[in-house]
Amino acid sequence: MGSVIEVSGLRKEYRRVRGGRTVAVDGLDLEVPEGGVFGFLGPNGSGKTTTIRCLLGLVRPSHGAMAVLGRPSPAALDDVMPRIGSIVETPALFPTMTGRENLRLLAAIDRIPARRVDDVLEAVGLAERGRDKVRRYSLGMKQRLGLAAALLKDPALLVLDEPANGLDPAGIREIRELLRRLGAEGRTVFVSSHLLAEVEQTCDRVAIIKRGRCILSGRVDDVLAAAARPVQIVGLDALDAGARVLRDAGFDVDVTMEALRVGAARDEGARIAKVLADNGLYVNELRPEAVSLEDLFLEMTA
Amino acid sequence: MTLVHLVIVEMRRALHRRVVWWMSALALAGCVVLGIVALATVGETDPLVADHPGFMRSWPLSSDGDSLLGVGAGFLAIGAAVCGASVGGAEWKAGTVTTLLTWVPARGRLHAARTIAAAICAFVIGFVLQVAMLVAALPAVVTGGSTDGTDRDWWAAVLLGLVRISLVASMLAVLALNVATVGRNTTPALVALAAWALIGEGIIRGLRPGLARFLIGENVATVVPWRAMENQEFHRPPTLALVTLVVYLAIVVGVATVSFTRRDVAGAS
Repeated sequence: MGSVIEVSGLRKEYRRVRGGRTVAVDGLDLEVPEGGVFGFLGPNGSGKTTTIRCLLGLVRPSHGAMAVLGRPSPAALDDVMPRIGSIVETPALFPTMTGRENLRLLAAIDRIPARRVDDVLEAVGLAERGRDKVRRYSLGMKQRLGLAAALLKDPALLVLDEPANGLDPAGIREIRELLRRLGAEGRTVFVSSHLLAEVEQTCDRVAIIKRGRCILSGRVDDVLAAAARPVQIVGLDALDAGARVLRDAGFDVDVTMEALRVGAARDEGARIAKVLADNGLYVNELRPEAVSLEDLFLEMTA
Repeated sequence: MTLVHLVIVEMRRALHRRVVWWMSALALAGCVVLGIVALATVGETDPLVADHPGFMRSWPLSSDGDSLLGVGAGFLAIGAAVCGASVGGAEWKAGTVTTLLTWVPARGRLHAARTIAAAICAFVIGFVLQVAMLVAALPAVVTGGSTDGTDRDWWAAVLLGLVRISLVASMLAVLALNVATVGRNTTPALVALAAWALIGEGIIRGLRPGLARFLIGENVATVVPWRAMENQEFHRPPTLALVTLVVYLAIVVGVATVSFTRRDVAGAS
């Protein structure tokens, strides 16, 4: 499996008006394999959008090398851009034109047939609003139209900066399913987002950046498994009694509102259950404590 | 993607801009008003007054600018500058330039295509509007005016006048588009152009009359009627005036191209 995005030592500095420099991206290394959905995460100001702008040739890097779809960026972007669909921040289209007219003008650039415009409007749920002027669109509808524009080229790589911005819960679910479908079709979807629960459900792989550097990258399952703590969640009716018994047996125990958090590895679950049962306490839940991407993200970027 | 294809796409984008349609509609309305006024007043006018639009001999350009085409030229120049600046600046204001560059990353080619598209659109629209203005004056000619003097030379003078005014409108549209591209905004570009034309050139004209031969205003005023400008300070032949304007335009387009290709596109302004 080849890489569709390769970033090596990317650095972007901006000159401040009153002297000095702001470093937006600071030696970023990143590799995005072909196929699937790749989540690009980071707190505000961590350099996500600047990285995306560098990849798409909108911003000139200060240092570093990048390759997109196997070709150096920005030098060979002209060759690969017909296979890249993108949204950068809020999609900007002509407000006085209809959604369909906007897409037709973009389609004309790459000689994309007009019927494809209807297909992508249908795909993002805008088929019935395609004749409305864009200025009448809500933020969520503009986001869908931007996604439709990105899909026009039938791209091998989609670069989407906060695609769920402004969408209602139903819209978020639709976009999630659309992204999964696109990833499953063999395309690569590179998506930056703040909606970590969404990323966890949608993405196969993630990278987390902080202050312009990649601090974690890998498959979502592997990343979460590696971050999992040796804590077992034990549910039972008599929490205080259970905590006392387990502490007497040498376990480290925290009592929460609904369960006990017991410091123990996964393979000690049977022993925990036995200690409690020997004391007439029967567990109704016993599972390893799950680490969410949100927990991991907050821990790593704090 | 060839440059020709990109020019066609950019012409479509330019012609989709509301300001282009509004300005064209306004100009057409002006033509209609001119036609009505000419029709209503042609009978009252002394036939010897040659500058009435009902008398066709007053249509070709004259050096004093009193001709029908000369009157329309000023409005056309303003309209062309406004539309050119809007085509260049509005893309930055709305942020659509970001969208466009994710489709056409070759910035130099894109800027060349936009410049050529603006030039062609301004020329064609300018030509059509001037023809519309002349057509609007025809009822006055038919009812009470005169076609005296409309020989082959007259037709040639009118046609060349249309072409030269359309050319100057085209150059102004390109100038405004490129200034707006450097400033990444429409209004400051128009203010800068107006300030230069009205104040900057006025100061130079007043303080150093000898340098006036290098001013845009003097060169445009020489090219449009295609007559040498003669005064105590200088003699300006029309060919040299045209070359001067082309050189100025090339410098501005060059600066705008460098600005467009080298500067970061960080978002909507």
